[in-house]
Amino acid sequence: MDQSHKAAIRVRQVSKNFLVPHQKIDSVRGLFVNLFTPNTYEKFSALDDVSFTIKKGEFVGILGHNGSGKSTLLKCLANVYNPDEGAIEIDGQVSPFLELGIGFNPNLSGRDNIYLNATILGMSKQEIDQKFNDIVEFSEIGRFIDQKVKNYSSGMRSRLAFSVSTHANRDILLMDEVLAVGDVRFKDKCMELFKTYKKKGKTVVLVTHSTNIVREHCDSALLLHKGKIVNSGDVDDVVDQYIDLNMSKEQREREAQKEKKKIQQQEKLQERKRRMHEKELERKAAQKKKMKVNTVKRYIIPSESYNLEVSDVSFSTKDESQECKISVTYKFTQELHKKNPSIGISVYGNKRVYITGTDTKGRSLPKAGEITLTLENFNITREEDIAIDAGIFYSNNGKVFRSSVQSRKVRSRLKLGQTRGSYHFNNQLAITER
Amino acid sequence: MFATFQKYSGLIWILAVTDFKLRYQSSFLGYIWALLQPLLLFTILNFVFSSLFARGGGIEYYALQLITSLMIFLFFSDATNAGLKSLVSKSQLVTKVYVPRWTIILASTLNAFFIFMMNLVIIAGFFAWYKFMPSFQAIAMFIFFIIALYILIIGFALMAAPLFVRFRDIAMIWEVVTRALMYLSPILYPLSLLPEKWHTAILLNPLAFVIHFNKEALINNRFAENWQYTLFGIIILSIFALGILAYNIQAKKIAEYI
Repeated sequence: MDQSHKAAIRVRQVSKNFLVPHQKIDSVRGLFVNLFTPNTYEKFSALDDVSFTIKKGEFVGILGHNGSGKSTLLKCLANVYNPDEGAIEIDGQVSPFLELGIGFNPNLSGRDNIYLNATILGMSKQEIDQKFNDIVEFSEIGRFIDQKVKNYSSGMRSRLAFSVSTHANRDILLMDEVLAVGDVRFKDKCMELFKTYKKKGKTVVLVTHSTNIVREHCDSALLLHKGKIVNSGDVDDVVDQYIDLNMSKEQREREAQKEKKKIQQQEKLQERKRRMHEKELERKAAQKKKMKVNTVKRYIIPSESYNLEVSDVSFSTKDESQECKISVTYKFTQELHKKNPSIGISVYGNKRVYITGTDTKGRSLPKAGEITLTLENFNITREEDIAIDAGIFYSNNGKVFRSSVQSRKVRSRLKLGQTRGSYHFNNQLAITER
Repeated sequence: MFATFQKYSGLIWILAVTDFKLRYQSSFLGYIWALLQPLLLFTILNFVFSSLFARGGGIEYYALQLITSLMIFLFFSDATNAGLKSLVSKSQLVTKVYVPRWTIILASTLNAFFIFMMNLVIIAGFFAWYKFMPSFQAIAMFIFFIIALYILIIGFALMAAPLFVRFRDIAMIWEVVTRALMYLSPILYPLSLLPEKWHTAILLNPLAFVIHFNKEALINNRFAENWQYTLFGIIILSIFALGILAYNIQAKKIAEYI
């Protein structure tokens, strides 16, 4: 049979009044004194002729501001209060979560509290035995389960309570602001769970102030105002009216102004964003241009057209100072030789700190040969990794052509008793043809 | 009716066991206090009153009479007090969830019953010490009296617990009444010590009836007349019925007044 069309809760013309005595009698003496003076009561109508039906599998939100009768209605549904007039028909087992962890005793262990709370929620011993592990797992309490609940953090406590409550697994759930206590993660967990409830055809009745929750999750909504149902049915409709009801005229004006300000601010923000976006575009365009300029100037000499090698690096001491001799051998093709290329040599120290360098620009190189660079007074004080780079380059019509760099690494260290200090290179470049 | 009772028996049990567990929790001696407390009281009373009665020739097995009567009285006062305050002390179970309220009341009195059961060990120990074996009939009578007393306690608690929700001074009144009952029941003294003309009036109090005839049965193997039992039964059952009636009238509004 299709369950969805059957009513889970049917409320017929329910009224609930509270007599609020002008002078509250809560002592026997008061009772006797008041025997001789007529009592005056103020009748407070918490629910006034309320009727509605909730179908099976429906997720209903009850909205209304403080004192509108929401909680009274929920308590009537949970059978905590008995209505003065009218009737409530409920088809299915009810699980009321008017509060999480009802009957939790801080002096008992988590284990005992699970049994206590679950029994209060109407589970039998066997049922609890069966679900005990699930309950513990869901609550993420783990090994603390045999510790006293008073030593739990409030988060652990509410997780445990929630875990027990949900495992009660009843047909109809009544909730009164239960979600208000948890953190965001907890709320999400609740919502996830409600979704599965919905799938199982369970009915959820939620009393809340959160219009967001109602809008997002509820199938339908009820709006209570001063004990009467003002609106019911479509969620958006009800929520709008609730927000409307919630505001006095003054508030509404203030709200309107706020809204205006908000819009203005948003416009400003958008304007700023737009400008920033434009700037960004401009910047990007400029960068592109710049890159183009650079690339125009740089060209590569194809590696087939030359041979280049840092063939030898040697150190020698002369007059208490160190001398470094670098040999670079090369060979150009006919074509490259015609362009009158130059060879550059650079010397780097530790971490590729540039030490010195030179090139053969202005001198004509034979087609093949060896370049010897002698660095006198190469008096570095530490053990150092020295890298020697050599490269070929020439320019043609303002365009610079470069070869890939050939590199060689050596270690150098001054011997004891030798001069320490700065480098006073006396670079000597010798070219021999090969 | 039995079905509903069975349905909630698990709840009543766990509530009672919880109360029992918590009662002596974080005390060094734990459950031993349940035995030690009445024993200490007994020691003092026995010292004073046995020396008092020794002047008039003494009373046979006074210690045995005192310990049984004292235990019964403590059970009564403990159970009624717990039952009276049960709803208020567990108000969360009344306002936040629906459980039949009588389960809460019943569970609280059950806790006192557990302690009484423990104290039975002391009573048995005393009888063994004095090498006194009551007759089988007397022991059956003792069991009957305890059951009757428990029915009386439940009847009272069903009536008083919802009333206490509205009128908190009932606790104060009941404290005075229990103290009066302690002296108006033949606990410390034999009934014969009082003028004969008052006996009927005193025995109309079911607690005094239980204590007096329990002593008579256990020590002297003497029993009450049948009409006396009948009257006693009627009183107990009418208090019980009155309790249920009063409970039913008040039950619907308990949550609103608490």
